[in-house]
Amino acid sequence: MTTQALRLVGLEKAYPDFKLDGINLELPEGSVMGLIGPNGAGKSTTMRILVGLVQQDGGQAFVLGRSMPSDQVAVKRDVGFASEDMRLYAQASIRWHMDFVRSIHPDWDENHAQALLQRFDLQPHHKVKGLSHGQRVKATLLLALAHRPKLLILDEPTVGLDPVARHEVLGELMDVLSDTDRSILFSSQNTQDVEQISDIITFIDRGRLIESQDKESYLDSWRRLRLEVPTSASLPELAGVVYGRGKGTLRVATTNRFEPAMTQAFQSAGITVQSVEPMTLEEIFLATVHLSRGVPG
Amino acid sequence: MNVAMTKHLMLKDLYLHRYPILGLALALPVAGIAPALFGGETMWRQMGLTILNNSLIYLIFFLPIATIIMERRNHTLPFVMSLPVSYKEYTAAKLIGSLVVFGITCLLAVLALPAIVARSEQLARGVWPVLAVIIGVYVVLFVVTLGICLVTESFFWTMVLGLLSVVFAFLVFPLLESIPPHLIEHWTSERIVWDGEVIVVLGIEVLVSMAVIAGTFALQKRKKDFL
Repeated sequence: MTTQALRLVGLEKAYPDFKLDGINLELPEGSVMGLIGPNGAGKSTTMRILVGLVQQDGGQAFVLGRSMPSDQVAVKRDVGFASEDMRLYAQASIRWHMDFVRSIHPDWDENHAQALLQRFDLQPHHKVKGLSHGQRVKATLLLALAHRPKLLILDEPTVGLDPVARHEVLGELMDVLSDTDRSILFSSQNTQDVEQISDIITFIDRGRLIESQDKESYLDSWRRLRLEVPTSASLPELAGVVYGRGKGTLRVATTNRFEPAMTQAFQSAGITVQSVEPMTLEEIFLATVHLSRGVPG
Repeated sequence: MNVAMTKHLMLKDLYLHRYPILGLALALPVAGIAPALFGGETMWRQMGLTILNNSLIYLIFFLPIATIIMERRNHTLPFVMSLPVSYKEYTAAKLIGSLVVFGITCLLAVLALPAIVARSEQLARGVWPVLAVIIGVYVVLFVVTLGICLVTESFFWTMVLGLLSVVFAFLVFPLLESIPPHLIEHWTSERIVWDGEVIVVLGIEVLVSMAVIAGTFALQKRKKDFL
């Protein structure tokens, strides 16, 4: 039986202008889940509930088999958390932060911390206020990784990083995964990052979970079809197909249930399928959001 | 509650704010030394009392704002609360840490006071019970400020309380004049008399402080967000 690193059951949290609306989600141990959603979708709220920064109003959250928020101290011993809006103490050095976290985390691995310092090219005596944004992100990640957590929860960790720093951060996350027991929940608006490291893709929008699927089969199920529709032909009603606007007789169809038989259905309706194209995760993300909001693609 | 964890959190705050705390701690002996060095002239005694009073008022403002409000404003609270820390340990660390610093500072103030009153013709050892009541008021003010600060995490409400503290600071001297004559008689005496009224007031101060601390823990327990 697969053990779940995360299990959310009907998770709810209400704010005056936002509601997390009954999120159900599972992350098997050893997997990487990319959480994608527009600003204000509920990604950060979900992640904050998982580390006890925010308590849910309803539903249940189980992290590494333990209930949140009641078992939060035990949970947080095995979780590494870094968030885009989390800051370190500006007037203290990286070394001071390392010593502080080491005094709190019994599993702190100083050798691993030293290796991360080298890998991220960080000087331990440097004060946080003198670090660049990229260095601050790396220092935060170092503190989240050095106790070798079983679960990493990263909320937009690559925001504002230059390509080199982003590459280093993602590389470290890939290394973390070499230990198959480790799991990662990773949110980003950069779909390239998510596509690069995730096994499971989860879309969230306006507090609701839209999709959560294995990445390969998910990407494989989405296609864009370029169609030439003669004036005498009409577009067939096909499940999972959304038609976009087009010029003249040209139309674009997007589907999340692509099967080769679909092209035959168009041809039978007198429509020429000019091309069948795979879609990038970003295009799928946009299409999914439009679909869930009932906006034509 | 993990005592070691609470200690680590307290030490963190002490380290991060060590310079202002040291500065304040030094200001109080200076308040006492100045009148002692320069004699019992009223001007030096007034200066000593002013430094003493302002330092305590500044401390009432400074500790809650620096250790609680700024932690939230600077977004360092999520960093702390993402570590294996419970709300109890966090609350205890803030309360105990601040009270320890305030206690040490008050102790320094108590040590400074004899020097201030030493050469006074109007004051003698008998003034101590009244001074204990006055220090008690500072403690209550501090505990209330700390509790409000922890529960509301609001700069506004902390400032409101801070303003009340300043008003109190200005009212200290008129308040002294309203003290019953039979208590004032003790001031010039070398004998310390713990009058019943003084003990009642001290008791109320202790009870109010304990109630505020208990209330702070109860409200913190109900809090749902640590951001």
